[in-house]
Amino acid sequence: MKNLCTPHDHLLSRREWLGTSTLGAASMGASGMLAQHAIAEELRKNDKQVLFIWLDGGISQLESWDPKPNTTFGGPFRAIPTKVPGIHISELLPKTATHMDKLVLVRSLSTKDNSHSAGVDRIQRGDPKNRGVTYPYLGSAVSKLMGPCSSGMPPYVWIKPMSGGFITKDAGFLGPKYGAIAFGDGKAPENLLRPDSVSLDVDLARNELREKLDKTYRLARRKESSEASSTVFDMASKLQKRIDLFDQSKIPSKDLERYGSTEFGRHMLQARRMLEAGVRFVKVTSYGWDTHGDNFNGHLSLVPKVDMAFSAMLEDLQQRGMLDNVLVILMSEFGRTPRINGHLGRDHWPEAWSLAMAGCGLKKGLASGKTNKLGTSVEGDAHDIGSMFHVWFKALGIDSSKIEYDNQGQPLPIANEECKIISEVLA
Amino acid sequence: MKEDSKELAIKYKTKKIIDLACPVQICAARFSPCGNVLAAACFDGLVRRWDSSTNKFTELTPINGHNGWVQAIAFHPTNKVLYSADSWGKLAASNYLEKDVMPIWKNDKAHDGWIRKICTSSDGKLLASCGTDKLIKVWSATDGALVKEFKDFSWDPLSVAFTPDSRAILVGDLQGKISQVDASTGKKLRELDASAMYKLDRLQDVGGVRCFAFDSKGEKLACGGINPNRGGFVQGPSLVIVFDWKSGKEISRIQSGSENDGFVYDLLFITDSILAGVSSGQPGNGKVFFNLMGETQPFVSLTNMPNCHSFALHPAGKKIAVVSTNANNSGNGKVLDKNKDYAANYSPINILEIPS
Repeated sequence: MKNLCTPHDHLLSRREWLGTSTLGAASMGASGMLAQHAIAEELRKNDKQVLFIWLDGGISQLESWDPKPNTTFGGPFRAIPTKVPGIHISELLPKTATHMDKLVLVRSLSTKDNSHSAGVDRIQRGDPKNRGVTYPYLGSAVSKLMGPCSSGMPPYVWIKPMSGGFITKDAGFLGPKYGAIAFGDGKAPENLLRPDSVSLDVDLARNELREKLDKTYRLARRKESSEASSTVFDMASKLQKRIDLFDQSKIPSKDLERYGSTEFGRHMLQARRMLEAGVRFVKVTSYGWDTHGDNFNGHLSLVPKVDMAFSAMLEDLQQRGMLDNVLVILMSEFGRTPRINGHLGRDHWPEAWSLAMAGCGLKKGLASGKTNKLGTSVEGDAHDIGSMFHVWFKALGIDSSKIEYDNQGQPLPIANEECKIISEVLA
Repeated sequence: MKEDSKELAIKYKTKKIIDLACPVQICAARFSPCGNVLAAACFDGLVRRWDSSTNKFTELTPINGHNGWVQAIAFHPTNKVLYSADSWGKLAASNYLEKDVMPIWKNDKAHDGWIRKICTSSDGKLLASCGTDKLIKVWSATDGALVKEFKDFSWDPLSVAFTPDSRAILVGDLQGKISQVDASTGKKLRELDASAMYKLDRLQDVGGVRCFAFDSKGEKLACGGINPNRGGFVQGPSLVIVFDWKSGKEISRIQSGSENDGFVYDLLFITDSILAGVSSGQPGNGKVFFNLMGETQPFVSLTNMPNCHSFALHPAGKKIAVVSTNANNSGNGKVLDKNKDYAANYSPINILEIPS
C-alpha cells in the first residue's frame, strides 16, 4: 500500500520527546493529571444537553429582548408584559412572553467585534485570550469536555439550511474529531444508508478491512490524523440505526402546526427529535438576520416565526421533563444599532445587546443586567462573551475555574479567564 | 429620449426654495388641500406642521398625543381636518388650522398595533385604515365611528386607498397582491398582480406594495415597491407597476437600474401622463423621479437627496416637499457626531419649486 504519511507525521510530539505519559491531562503534576481525568470521567456520566439557537446576522435587541418604546431609537413597536411581572419584551414575541417564567435574559452583553466574518467566530469560540491557538466553538468544546450522552449518538450536530457535511473547523485545536455533523435542511447525510447493490456481508467485510487498515495507519501517526476519519464512520453507524429521526412522516401534524411550517420551524422540530434521541449538543441556525435595510418589516416577518417555534420548544421540553436537563441558548453575534439608518435599517451593534436562555443550571424568570434609557450603553456591569461561556459551562456542571484543555501538553483555560461569571443567572 | 421628454426635463427642472429642519425622521408629509399647511408624521409621536402659505414655511406647534411612530397622515378633501395614525394603533382627527390643536375625535385602539396607511374617500365621508393586525377598517370621517371591518388572513396589508368612486377599497399587501374590496360589504371584487414586488428570502418575507396612486380620471392605477433581490440588507431596484384600472391589466412597468435604489415609498400623478415619486434604498441612495407614462425611465431623476421617504405636491401644483434623510446616516458600532454624541438621524424636508 502506498505510504500516505506526510513529514508532519514524523515529528515527535512534545510529550513523546519528553517521554511523559500519554494520558489526556493537564501538565499539573501527577495528582493534578489524575484529578482532571476523574473530573472528565464524571462529566461524561452527566447527560445534560445543549440546544444552541443561532440567529445569524444579528437580531435586534430593541425588537426582541430589550425594547425601548417611545424613545428616540425605540422604533414603531410596543413592549408587552410577560408572565413575570416587571419584565417586558417586544410585542413581536407574544408566545415567548408567556414562557418568561422559564427564561433568563441577559441584557448586558458588550462585545468587541462588529463584523460578521470575525464576530461569529469570536462569539462562538468565547473570544478567549490570544494564545496562538484556535479555540473550539461551544459545540465542539462541550463535545470534548462531556463526550456523547449515554445514548451514544453523535455529540455535536448542526441543523442548518442548505448543505450539510462534517464541519471540522468548529473544533479548533481540539482536532477534527470534535467537529459538527451538519444536517443540511435537517435531512440525513447523503448516502447514509447502505445501497442495495452492497450486501450486508460485503459491507461488514469492507468495514472490517477499513478498521484493520486504520489500526495500522494509527500505529505510526499521531492519533488526530486518523481519529476524525474513524469518528465519522462511527457516527454514521449510529445514525444508520436511527434513520427514523429523519423520517418527516413520523411527525404529528399538530407539532408541525405548533412549530410552524417555515424552514426554521421544521429545523427546530428536528432539533427536538435529536435532543430526545440523546444528542449532547444541537445547534440550529437561521440565516438572514442582518437587517441593515427595512429592519422593522424584516423583524415583523422574522421574529414571530422564531417566537412560534421557540415557545413550542420550551413547552415540549418542559412537558417531557427535559428542560431541567437541557441548556437552551438563543442568540446572535451582536445586536443592532439604536440609530435607524436612511434605509430604515439598523446596523451592527456589539456595544449593548441581549440574549435569552433557559434550562439546566439557570435561574428562571429573570432579566439580568440592563441598558440605559435609550439602549445606547450597558448600565452597571457589562459582560463579554467569555462571561457567558463561564455561565454555560457552570450550568452544565463544568467548573471553568478548575477544568482546562490539554492541547498536547499545553494547558489552556476553557473560557476567557479575564471574564467574570454572571452568578446572578445561575441556580 | 423622446423630444417631449427633453422638453419635460426642462419644464420640470426643480429649484430649491427652502430646506426645513426636522430633528427626527419622518414617515410621511402632506400639504393640506387649502395649501396653507404642510404636515409631517414623525418618529417621535408628533405631527409637525409648517405654515406653507408663504415660502417662509414658519413652523407651527406640533400636534401631540401619539405614541411610537406617527406612520400616516391624510387630509379631509374639504374640511379643515387632518387625520393621523400611529404604530401603536391610535387614530385621531384634528383641526389642523388651530394654533394649539386638540383632537376632534380619537381612538386609542383603532388597531392592535402598527397602522400602516390611512386614506380618505373623495367625498370626505369615510376614512380607511390598514394595520399589522391584518384588519382593514372603515370609519366615519366625521366622528370616527367604525363603519366596517374586513379581515383576510391571507394578507399582510401595507397600503390602502379608496377607488375614485369611493365604492371600493384597494389593499396592497406584503406578498404583492392588490385586492379590490367592496367598501360596504367587504366582498373581494378582484385581485391585481404585483407579485414582482415580493420575495421569500430564507425566512423573511421581503417587499410588498408600499403605495398607490390613481390618475385624476381614475383610468390608471400606479403602485410602488421594490423588485427584491434579497432580504436582510434588502436590495433591489425600485419598481412601479401601472395598471389599466378598468381591465386590471398591467400596462407599464418602471424599474430603476440599480439594486441599491430600494423601495418606492410615495407616488402620485402630477398630471395624467406624468408620474412622480420618491425612493429609498441602501443608505445614501434614493431619488426623486418624474416619469412620462409609456417611458421606462424617468425624464427627471434627482439623486442629491439621500433616502427619500415622502413626496407631497402643493395643491397649486408649483411646489413639492420631499422628505429625505441626512447624509452619512449609517454605520456599524457607536458612530459619534462631531460633538461626540450618539445622535439620531433626521429628515430634512426639501421644498422645491416646479418652475412652469
